[in-house]
Amino acid sequence: MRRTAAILAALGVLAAGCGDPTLWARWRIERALYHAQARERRVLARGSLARDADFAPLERRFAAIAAAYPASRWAAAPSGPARDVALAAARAAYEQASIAARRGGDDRAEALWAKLEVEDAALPGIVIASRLARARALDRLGRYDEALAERAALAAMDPTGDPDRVGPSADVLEAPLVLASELRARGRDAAADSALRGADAHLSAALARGRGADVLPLAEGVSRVRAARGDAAGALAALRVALPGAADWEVPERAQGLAARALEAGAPESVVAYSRWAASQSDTRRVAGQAWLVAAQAWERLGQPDSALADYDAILSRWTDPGALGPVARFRRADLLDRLGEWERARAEYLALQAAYPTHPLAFTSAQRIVRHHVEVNEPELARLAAQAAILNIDHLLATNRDRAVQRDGGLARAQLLLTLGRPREAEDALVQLWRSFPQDSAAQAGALQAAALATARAGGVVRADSIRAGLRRNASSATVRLAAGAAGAAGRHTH
Amino acid sequence: MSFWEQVALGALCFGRAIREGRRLAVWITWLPMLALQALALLALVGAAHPLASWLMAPLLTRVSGDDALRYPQGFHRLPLLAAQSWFLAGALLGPLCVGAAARAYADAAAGRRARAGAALGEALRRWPSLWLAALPTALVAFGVQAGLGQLADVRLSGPTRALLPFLGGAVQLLGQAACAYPPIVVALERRGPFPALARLPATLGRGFVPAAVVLLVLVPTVLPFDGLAPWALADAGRDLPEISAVLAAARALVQAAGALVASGALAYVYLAALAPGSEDA
Repeated sequence: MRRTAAILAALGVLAAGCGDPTLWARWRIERALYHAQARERRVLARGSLARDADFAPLERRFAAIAAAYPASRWAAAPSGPARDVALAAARAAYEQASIAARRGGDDRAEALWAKLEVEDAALPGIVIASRLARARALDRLGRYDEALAERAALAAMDPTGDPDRVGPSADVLEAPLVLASELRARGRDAAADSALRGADAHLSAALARGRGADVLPLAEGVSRVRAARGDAAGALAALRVALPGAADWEVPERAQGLAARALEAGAPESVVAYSRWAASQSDTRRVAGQAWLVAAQAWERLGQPDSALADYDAILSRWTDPGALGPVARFRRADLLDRLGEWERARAEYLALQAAYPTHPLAFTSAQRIVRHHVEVNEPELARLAAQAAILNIDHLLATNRDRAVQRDGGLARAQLLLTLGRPREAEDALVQLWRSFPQDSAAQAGALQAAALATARAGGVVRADSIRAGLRRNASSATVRLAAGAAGAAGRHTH
Repeated sequence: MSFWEQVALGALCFGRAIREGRRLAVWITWLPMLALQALALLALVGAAHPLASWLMAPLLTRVSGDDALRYPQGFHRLPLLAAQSWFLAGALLGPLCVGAAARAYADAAAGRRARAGAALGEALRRWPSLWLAALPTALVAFGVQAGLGQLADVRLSGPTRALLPFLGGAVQLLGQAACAYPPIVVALERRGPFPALARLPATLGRGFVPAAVVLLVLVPTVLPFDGLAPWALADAGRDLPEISAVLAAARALVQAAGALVASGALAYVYLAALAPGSEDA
């Protein structure tokens, strides 16, 4: 008995330590990364109260994790715990760069991301995230051409080439569209067309290779690229590829997707056909409601407003609560009635929208539309009264609703109404104030550009305009806004 | 004995078992079970360490998937894995500890000096008999858990599904109360497993209700841990997943203490109402 126990104990001692050390390495790095990220969440939760002194130790912590598990040792593993270690180390390095960027060290962050792209080339998920983040950092640094090159490199990646994720990468599928949009914003239409052409070929090849659940997102990606190229037939053809493999329950949604793409691609007859098909197969807001919405827009393009109004009515009457479709259908219906010259009915729709969805962005637009109508038909007194009433409503809303989106949308609408009332100085102040509250928001940045233009136009406002534009050039997240601020600043200096 | 007298007997024996529980010797009788569970918890928490992974990695991968060896998923799965290891440890060592505790409690009740070493030694010699005598209890627990597992895939209404664990718990408690005495008989009367099991029907008349009372009183002791488990996994676990290991260890400790007291209380019920020659037998 004792001898057996002794043998068993000896075997246990011999076996102890024979375990896989990579399992322990993975456990340790995942633990370190998890707690560093938990700390990061706590710091970020403090919002504007978080100081640089809170971020500095975090950056060092992520750097230490990444350094302890170098890519040269781990990144080559094709699968298993060693690859998990490589992924965690690369994630730590990515977070280190993100914190560096947050602390204002875009140049340091950009270099770290560039290093990650090279050292962790075997981890496509990390490379994709790094390219995206690096492009944004390069934009902030004013190195626009390098940022475009980074976006082009991202667009050229294989969307299905990441073995660590299920399904194609949405960022890679989106990249050609973003790249083309950035190029067009800089007036480089030929380069944008070329990028889209290349993406079409590249993604079509991926679609041809795609299997199972990968097919639908790939088909949608190809379709969006072709729609952006103005190739309506090609966009629809790409989506049709995904239909045969769809389960019965998926078909209505895919038909609705086809209708939406046909609308983007400018094929209204196809929109109507696909929408009718989708709406006949499903009764949900997500499918039938969306199908009616795109069908109504197609009818508008086909010059058949009665059919369009009937489809908008169908959305509003079919469900007690049409959900997110409600304000859109009501607004588009009002807009159509306005264009048809039926102002009283249009006004009633605009007012109903404001009453039913007071915080929806379209409710703010509706208020502006009513004022604009009175201005257009030369009813200045009515315009003034409508604008005053709308500003009072918005002021009440801003004082009682702290939702950030409501504060931003309401603030922007208020500034535009002040302009309509002929109070540009107040509008300028409101737009600048909004930008200070939402410095990273593209709508607020566009508002700041407008404020700079207003300041330039008034006597003694050039200094303030220059200051706003300098701030935008330094901090705006959108490259388009930075470039516009730079161009307007140069033009202003030239004029003065 | 009327129903209420049986309820009172169960409560009295439970109270006495708690009072006698102040003796260190009776606690020692459940140390093997606690030690095994502590070892299991340690192995689960450190499953990825080279000292343990040669054994734990293939085992956990098979039982719970590769995620059980990762951080923090391993801690998320710990409550379930700890419950399973408690179940296994209980099936293996539970009868031994029940037998030893019953002997130690009986000695204490008779005014003799309770000697844990002797009680454990005797239980160890009778381990196979104790294990066989406790088999119905283990089978009831296994049957209920397996049944609940099977029902997980059956289409049920929401309220029914919500009530199932309570229903399963009630069935398990009543089943275990019905099969509670054979290991006590083996330990106290030094009988073989089959004569002890043969006495099972005779113990139901006077022993079932007191046993159910004893086991029922213990139910609330683990409820706080079950209530805290979702909090440990979701809220506190977000920043400190290790808290689920602390909870699992505390639960094991409370469970062991409860099982110890239950062993003593059942021994007292047996001696008072079921043993040959007892006042009520």
